[in-house]
Amino acid sequence: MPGVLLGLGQGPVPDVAIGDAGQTGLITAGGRREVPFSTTTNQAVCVIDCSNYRWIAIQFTTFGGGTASFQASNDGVNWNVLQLGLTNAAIAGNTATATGMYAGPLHCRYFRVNVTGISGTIAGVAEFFAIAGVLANQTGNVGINGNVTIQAASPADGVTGNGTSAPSFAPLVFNGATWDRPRTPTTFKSASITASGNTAVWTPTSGKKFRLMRFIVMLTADAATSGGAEIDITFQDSTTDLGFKASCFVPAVAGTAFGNGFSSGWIDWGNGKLSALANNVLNGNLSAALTSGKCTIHAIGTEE
Amino acid sequence: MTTMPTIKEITDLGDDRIRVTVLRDDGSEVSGEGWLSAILNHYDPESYGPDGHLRPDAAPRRMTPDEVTDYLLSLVASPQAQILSVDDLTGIPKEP
Repeated sequence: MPGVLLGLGQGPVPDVAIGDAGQTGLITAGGRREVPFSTTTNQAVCVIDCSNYRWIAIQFTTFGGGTASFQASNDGVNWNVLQLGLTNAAIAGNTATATGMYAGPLHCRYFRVNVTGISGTIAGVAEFFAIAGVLANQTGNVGINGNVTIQAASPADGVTGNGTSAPSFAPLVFNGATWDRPRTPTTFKSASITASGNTAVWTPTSGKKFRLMRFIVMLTADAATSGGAEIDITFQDSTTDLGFKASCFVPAVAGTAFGNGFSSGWIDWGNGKLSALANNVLNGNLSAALTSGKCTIHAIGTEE
Repeated sequence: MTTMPTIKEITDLGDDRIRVTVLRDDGSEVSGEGWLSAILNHYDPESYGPDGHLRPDAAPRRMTPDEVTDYLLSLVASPQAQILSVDDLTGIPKEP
C-alpha cells in the first residue's frame, strides 16, 4: 500500500520498518536493530536490509581466525567494500581479523559481513541505529519525526497486548533523564499498623517489584502512645527509607470522643517509585508503638 | 509433543533489567524481560507467612540453577507455544 504524506497526497512507497524483539516495529530517531551472528563456516552473516538505519556498531566477541569483510550493496547481489573504524584505535578498514568494536555510517541499502578463511568461530552482535526518523507504511499514515517523537506501538519495556494489537501510540513521560511508560494502578494494598518499626504493607508477588504510585496514611482519633510523643510515619523499601514522612503528635491517653484523627489525604507520586530490588517489601514504619488506635495505610501502584 | 524450550541468550540491560531470549522447539524465538535482583534476592516459599507477607526472619538467597531456569522461562510468554495447523485443532487424523 502506498504511503500518504500528510497534506501532500500520495507519496512514494515507504520501506517497511522492521524491529527486533527489543525494538519497535516503527522506527523513530534513536531506534535500533540488533543482529547477533555466529558462524563456523565461510559465509555471509549479518545480512540485512539496513534502509532504516544510518549507523552501525558491530562487535566481534569471538574471533577464531579468518577475515570478516564489511560489505555494502544496493541490490543485495553486487557487493562493495564498506569502511568502518575500530572504535578503540584510529584504524579504519573494511575488514576485521580480531575481536573488537567497529563502527561507522551506513550509506547503502544492504549490509553484510562476509567471512572467509575461517578457522574457528566468529561471533558477535551488530547494532544498527536509526538516526533520522523513519516510519513504516502505517495504513496511510506517515508520522513526522522532527521535534515530535512518535513512539511505536510497543515501547521498550513492552506492551504485552491483548492478543490482537497494541495501541497505536503509547505516550511516554520524561523522568528527568529517560522516558518511561505511564502506569495506572492495578495493585491495591491496605495495612493497619500499631507496632514500632516496620510492618509489611505490600509484599509483591515473587520475582516482582512494587511501584508505589499513590497512598494515604490515617491515624485513628483514639491513637495513643506511651508518654505521648510525636510519631513519624514513613515508608521503607525493605529497610531503605522512601522519602515520605508524616509526623503526628499522639497523646499518652487515648481519646474517647469522636474526632477526625489524622489523614494525609491521598498523596500522588505520579508515575511512582519503583522498588530497588525484586521481592522487596513495602513497609510502613512507626517511630513508636501505638498503645491504642491504629495507623492505617492504603498503598496502590503496580507490580513489575 | 513439546519439548523444553532452550534459553538462547540472557542480556544484562542495566538498571537491574535482564532480557532472556528463548528458542522454541519450532525454531522460533521469543524474548521477555525481568529483574536480575529476582535471582539474587530470592525468598523460599516458606519465607512467606499465611498473610502473604514475608516473615520477619526471612532471609533472601540466590536462586539455584533450576530456579533460575524456571524464572527465566517464566519471563517469556508461552515459551512452549507451538505453531498449530487446522489439522492440529480438529484432531481428525489425516488419511494415509
